Amino acid sequence: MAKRATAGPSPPVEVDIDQALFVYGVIPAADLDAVEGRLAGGLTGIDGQPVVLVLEGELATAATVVDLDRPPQRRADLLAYQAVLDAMAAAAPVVPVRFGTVLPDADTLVDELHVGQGEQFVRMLEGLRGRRQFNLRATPVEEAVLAEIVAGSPEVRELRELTRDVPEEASYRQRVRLGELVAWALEDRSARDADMVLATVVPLTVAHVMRSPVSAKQILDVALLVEDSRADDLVAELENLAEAVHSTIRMRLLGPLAPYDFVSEGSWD
Amino acid sequence: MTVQAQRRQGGGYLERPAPSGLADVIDIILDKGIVIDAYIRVSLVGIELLTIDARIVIASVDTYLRFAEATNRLDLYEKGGKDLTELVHDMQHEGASGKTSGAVEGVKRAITGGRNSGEGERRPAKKTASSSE
Repeated sequence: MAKRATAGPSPPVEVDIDQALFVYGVIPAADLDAVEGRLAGGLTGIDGQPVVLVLEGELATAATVVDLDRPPQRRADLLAYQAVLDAMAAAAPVVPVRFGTVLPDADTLVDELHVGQGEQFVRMLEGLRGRRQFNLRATPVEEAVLAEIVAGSPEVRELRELTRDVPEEASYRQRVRLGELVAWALEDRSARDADMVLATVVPLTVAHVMRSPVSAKQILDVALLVEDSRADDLVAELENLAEAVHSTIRMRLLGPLAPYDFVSEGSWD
Repeated sequence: MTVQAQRRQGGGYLERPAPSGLADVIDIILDKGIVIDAYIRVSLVGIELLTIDARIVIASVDTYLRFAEATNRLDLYEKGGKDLTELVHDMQHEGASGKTSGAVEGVKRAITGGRNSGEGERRPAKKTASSSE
């Protein structure tokens, strides 16, 4: 159940002295009804509290009342935070506010968010309308890729033979060298595969942000901002790609999500 | 794992799990979202989450030894598919470039405590809170 709240002269959000407002995200005021409808299905926030939508000016901010001395229930908190934001994002553009942001009351919330950073939020929300985030992760199927590396490098093959049935202490240097060569080969391979996957994905996205670097164990960890109208195309393309490369690359797609990675200034345009 | 149940259309090779696991949630939301001016942020969480973020990056020598071990564990001849000879042939066909230059210096660096800045950003992943381990 969502409760509409204004921060006017008679604030209807009761926040006791040992309580505060845990903030989820900001939406355009124009989308308030759509978001309320989405939250009306019984979705609650942290501690099972009903989501309050604080409305002021062009913006509305989703929050729930939390006790400041509450017992830790961290896993549930994280899940609730994400569930609320993803549900909101399904109904309207939303700017997620970083997990853990707590304000003392609705008046402060309005001052800081709607007044203090209002223009910034309005601008961001315009850029996010009709778009949601997907997180794509591609990792090497290690055994298959290692086999190719062994096959492709005489030096790796030789070192492998030299160290394979020898105690670790007796072959330490060769082992380190073998591992190093393999690590480098894996990194090269990851970099090439990353380019290949991105070439398929990027034309279907509005923007993308690398979430962590390419490495020996990771080909790609990327956030994609996608028009809702193209989401099915993206999934279909990735299905095809995943099938084509499945012997060496494992692909995993999360979403649609709220645009968690697309709300820092300058992170994308 | 719920992956199987979540697979949809096509060949089902693209994993599409519902993000309900703790590792996924942390990965999705931690350090994301807009930051409001720091002085009004009252952190309920902070410390506990920092511990999640503090996974120690294994020294490179250990990383290399792990890769060596994984390479040695491979049983290339018992695979149902290609054996080593075929693979070698395939690789030569693709013209794969074995990256061997600098290996000797690399050993020295590794033994004395890891690769230096000469390798730029090509180092093992530091990404925390991933489910890769």
